[in-house]
Amino acid sequence: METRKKSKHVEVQFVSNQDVGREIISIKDTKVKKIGNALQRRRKRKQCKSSDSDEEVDDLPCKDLDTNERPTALFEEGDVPGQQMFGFQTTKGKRALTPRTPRTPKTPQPEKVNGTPQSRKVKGTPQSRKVNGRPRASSHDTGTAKTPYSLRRRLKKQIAKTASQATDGYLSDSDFSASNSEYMPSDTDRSSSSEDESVEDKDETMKEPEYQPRRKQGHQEIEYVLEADEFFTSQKSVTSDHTLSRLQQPRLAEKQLQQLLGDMTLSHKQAVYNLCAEHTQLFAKWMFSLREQYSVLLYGLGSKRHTLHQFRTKMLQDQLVLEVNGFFPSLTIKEIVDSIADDLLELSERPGGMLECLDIIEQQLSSELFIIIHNLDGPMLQSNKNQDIIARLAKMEHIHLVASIDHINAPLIWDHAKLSRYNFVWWDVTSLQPYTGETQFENSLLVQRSGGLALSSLSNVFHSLTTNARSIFIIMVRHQLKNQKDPTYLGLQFKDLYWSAREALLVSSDIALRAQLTEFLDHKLVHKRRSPDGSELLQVPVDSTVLQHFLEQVEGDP
Amino acid sequence: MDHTVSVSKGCFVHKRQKRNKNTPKKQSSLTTNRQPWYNAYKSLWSSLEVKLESLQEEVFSQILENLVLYIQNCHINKSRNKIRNEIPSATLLTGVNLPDHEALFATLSSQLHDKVTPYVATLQARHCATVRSAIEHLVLQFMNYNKVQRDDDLEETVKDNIKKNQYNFLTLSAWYKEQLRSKSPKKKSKNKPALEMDKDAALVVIIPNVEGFSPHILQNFILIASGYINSLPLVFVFGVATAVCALHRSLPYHVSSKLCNEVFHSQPSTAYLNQVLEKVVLTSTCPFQLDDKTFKLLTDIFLFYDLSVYGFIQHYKYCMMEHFFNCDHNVLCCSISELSQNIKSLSKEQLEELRQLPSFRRYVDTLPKKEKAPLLLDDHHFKEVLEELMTELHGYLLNLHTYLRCLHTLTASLPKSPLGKQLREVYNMAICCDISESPQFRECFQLLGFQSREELLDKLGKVLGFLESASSNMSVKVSHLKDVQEELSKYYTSIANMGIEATEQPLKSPSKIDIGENINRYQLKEKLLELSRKQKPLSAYEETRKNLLDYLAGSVFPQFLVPPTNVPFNEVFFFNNVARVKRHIVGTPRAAIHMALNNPHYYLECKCCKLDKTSSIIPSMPDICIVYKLHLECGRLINMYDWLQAFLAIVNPSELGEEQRDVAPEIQARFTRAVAELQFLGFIKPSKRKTDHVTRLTWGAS
Repeated sequence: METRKKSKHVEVQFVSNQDVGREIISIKDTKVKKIGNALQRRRKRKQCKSSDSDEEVDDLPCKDLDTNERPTALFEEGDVPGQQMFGFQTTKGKRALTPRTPRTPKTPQPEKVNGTPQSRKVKGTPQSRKVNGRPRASSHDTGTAKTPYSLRRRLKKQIAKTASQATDGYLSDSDFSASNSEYMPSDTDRSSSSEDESVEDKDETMKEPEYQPRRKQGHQEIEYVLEADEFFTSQKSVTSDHTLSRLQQPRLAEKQLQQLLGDMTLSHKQAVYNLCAEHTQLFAKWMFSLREQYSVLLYGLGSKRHTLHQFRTKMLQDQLVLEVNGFFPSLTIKEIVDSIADDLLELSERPGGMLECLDIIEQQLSSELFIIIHNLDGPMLQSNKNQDIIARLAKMEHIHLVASIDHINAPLIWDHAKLSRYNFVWWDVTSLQPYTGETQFENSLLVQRSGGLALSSLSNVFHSLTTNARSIFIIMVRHQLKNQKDPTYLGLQFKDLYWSAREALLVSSDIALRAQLTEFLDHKLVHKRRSPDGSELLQVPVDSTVLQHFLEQVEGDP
Repeated sequence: MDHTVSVSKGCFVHKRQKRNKNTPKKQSSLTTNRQPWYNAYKSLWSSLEVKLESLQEEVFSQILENLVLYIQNCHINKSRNKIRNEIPSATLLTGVNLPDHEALFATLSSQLHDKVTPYVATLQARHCATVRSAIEHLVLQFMNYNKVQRDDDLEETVKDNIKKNQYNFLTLSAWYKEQLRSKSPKKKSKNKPALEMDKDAALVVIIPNVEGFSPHILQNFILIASGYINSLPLVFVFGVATAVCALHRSLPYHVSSKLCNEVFHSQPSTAYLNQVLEKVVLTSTCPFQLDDKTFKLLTDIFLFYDLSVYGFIQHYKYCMMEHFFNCDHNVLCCSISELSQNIKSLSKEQLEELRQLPSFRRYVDTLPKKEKAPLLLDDHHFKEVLEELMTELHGYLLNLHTYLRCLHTLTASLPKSPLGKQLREVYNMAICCDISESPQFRECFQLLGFQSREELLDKLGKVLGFLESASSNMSVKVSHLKDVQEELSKYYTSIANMGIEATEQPLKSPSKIDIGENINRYQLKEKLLELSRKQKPLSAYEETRKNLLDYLAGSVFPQFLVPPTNVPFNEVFFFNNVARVKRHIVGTPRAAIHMALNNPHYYLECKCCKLDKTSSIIPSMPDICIVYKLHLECGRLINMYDWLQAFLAIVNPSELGEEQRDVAPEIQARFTRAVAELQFLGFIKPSKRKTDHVTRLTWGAS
């Protein structure tokens, strides 16, 4: 009876998350001793590995070096540790962006989310999680957003368990905890007050091995390792089903966008200006290193075109300069080599092969030539072969290369041989200027393409056609526009086109129409494909709005 | 600026602007060339370059010696090869330091040209996209081998006679026969020794990088070549960067059976680096020196990134450029013969700069008051002192390097080598701290105390050699070198002479111990303990050894191996600003972008964007940073609409925190631009798996 009385006043003691975690580990460790030991061993190894330094080179292989040398000068205080940049994605998945979109259908309740900073008053989000020793590591903690919750659940159960134990009063806590799982069944039988809880507990103890990892998240290293697994298991991230059409104006037109951005004043104008002014101070040094057979490579966030432009106007006024827009989507390496050979060297006869051309350039070039490449990592320059040719150019005695990179994986396009040919001097010229020129060729979901370019090229080709061909083309365009709303529309059947063209007295035979079509296909005005039933389908591969414009234009001036 | 953006063109040529002839031609570039620091840099670097080149030649010729010999002899036992249609070939395992190979194979080619045969062709992988182009290149190279030697008109005829599509093995063998016939009379007339071996000179084909070739082309090329082995004495040299199995893997049996292969190993590039360091960089003749951190950085890059000596030299050169750039007082970093002249040419400002150097200030502080004033005020007097101190600095450098080498020879072979096995390790330690105070140094001398006579004698002999050579080609007068040398040679002779005595002594000692009879185990133990406690009388050799080591560790090394920071004007010789070069030698583009996106305050230095936590978001940050940080919270797919809403909640929050369906176009435009920029940077790309979603391309970086 004594015990019954006691049970009514359950003693509540505050236990911190970490302690709870530790307690749970100790229980489980005794239970699955072997696994636990192995885990611990692994953990220890991981810990000492990552505590050495964040550099990858520090890993095991260097231990094999006979001298036991370790790099110390490569990574120092103040460098950004690789873990922060390349670490595995932490488990936010479905809970991303929640506090700001509270009504999204598939997301859990926002109060569970700990990691996402509240809007507006974000400065120093009050986060109750413990801050690890390393100040940088705090950003890592955002990943553990889940931890408190799961631990809290566990804590709840633990308390409930203690409560039920206390009501039963058979065993003291400490004894019980050692053989917790074995006692579970009997426990459920006897306890009447918290049956649901203990049933759940039972389930949970069955799954224990899988749960093991999460519990240890108090230690940063383990958390890092185990969450990597989680990355692969929780591939399916759930996002809400919202689309941009929920907005009043889902997409901005290209022109409007450019105008809006043009009118806008740059944020932090003075600071950006100061940064650029700072970069101007470096020009003399760049010139010096260029003349000493180094190439200058600029990196950092923000457009570097302005800086390079300044460099050209200030330092290279009296020099031969070739400026290349690497971000230009239809740039070819041949274009670069040819413009050196034709425009700069004015060679009378230029060999056809690229490599021969390079040899000739090397022989003939007698005065200094500066090549400025905006985005050496541009889409058309990324290939191994193209980089090889540029590196070869850069290696030539009279050619000096100044280039910029922006893509985060840009350095991957060079191997040692190329790097040594380039012989880069790296400069961080972060300017935070908008990438206006560089991004103009991109397709963005948020922009409505006006298709000015497509339209003009379309009408250019169109005007070079014969009258009959024009009319045939217009038939196809009309047909396509008529059916644009139909999602099952695949294209105009050849025989339909033939009959309508014949009716309009444009062609007299099947073969004549095919001859016309060949011209369209050559100019890529038309795509041809087979329908499932074997008939030929023709389609104009241009956006319907552009086609509409085009039709208006054509009808405007016959 | 905008004229360089076009929708139809990616290349823009800017030619020299035509100037009026009367305007003075001033080139901003030329001004750098006239400056004194530039001249000093240029002369120093070119002297180093010459040394490096000759060293390179020397190192490579050591490696290539056997290979050249093999090529010389491989066609002597011709008959055997001919029966089996085998092409003699050599595989040179070059190691992974690709950038250095270009020089290696150039040396090989020139050596073969000089010593073995005039017919050497090098096939680069980039020229051999097809078998046809490979053969064309090969034949062209052989037939034009002596462009320089021949007259120009003859050269022309060769080119005219044969069209490009006729460059094949048939033409080559016909040409080779022609060569043999025409050579024999010529040889007599010219009487050139080099041409004597032309008669049956081999045709050497060098393929520097086998891994770069497509195996298919290589196979076909070898098969075709093996068909002509009877008429053409071909020899192949394969350069393999990884391992021999790379060659085996790319050549199946029916191809490799056509080759009679022999494998040659080249030295690892670390050995080459050590040579460069010991003979060029870490010498007293090169006044430019690196401080410990920079030196460590460069060696670390070498050992852990690329193993390329070429890269190391380029980085070293960059440090030197940085040292001299716009720093006129560093003209004093020159050889001792130019010193006085350079000091004379110093201007007032440069003298002032020199006076500001911290090491000089420290030096001045130690002086009595009387001497201080003239040093700081009188330029003439200062120049005199400067010359004196600079000469001392040269002397210091000479001492440093000489004794470092001595210390290195003494300690390198010790068990576990506490001071490191390489000279560079000893150097690094000696210039960062007082090496004679370090525990490793003491450990070394403890270990040296156990050295046998032969070993010690050997090492001492080498040390004496160093001192000898240092004092003989000394440009600075350093008197103590001679003293030390004499002292050490005394030790040397005394140790060398006591050879016989030393062997006798150990025989005596066991006889002395007599153990009384009938003692039990306990007593024996006591006795032995007693014996062991007794100080053994030192043998004569041990005595001398102890004295020698005491002399070295007590007076020689502590006196001369002091860190340079204590020497006045050390800044002139020692490059000590690793922070200024590190980021330019090893670029960190990803870190810079990471930093700028996560903490723009680092770059902008504005008041508004100061973060107390890296993960927090402030509305005043640049748009791209906000958008980036929001995207970090997402999984693989990002819903554009939700993303925009989140962006709005930060930039333009509504009262109730509701969804905002009507967005101000300006804000939408800003968001659009930021998203496009993230896409440009490679963080996201449009996805087709779900409408209005983008895919994240990075794993973490939360």
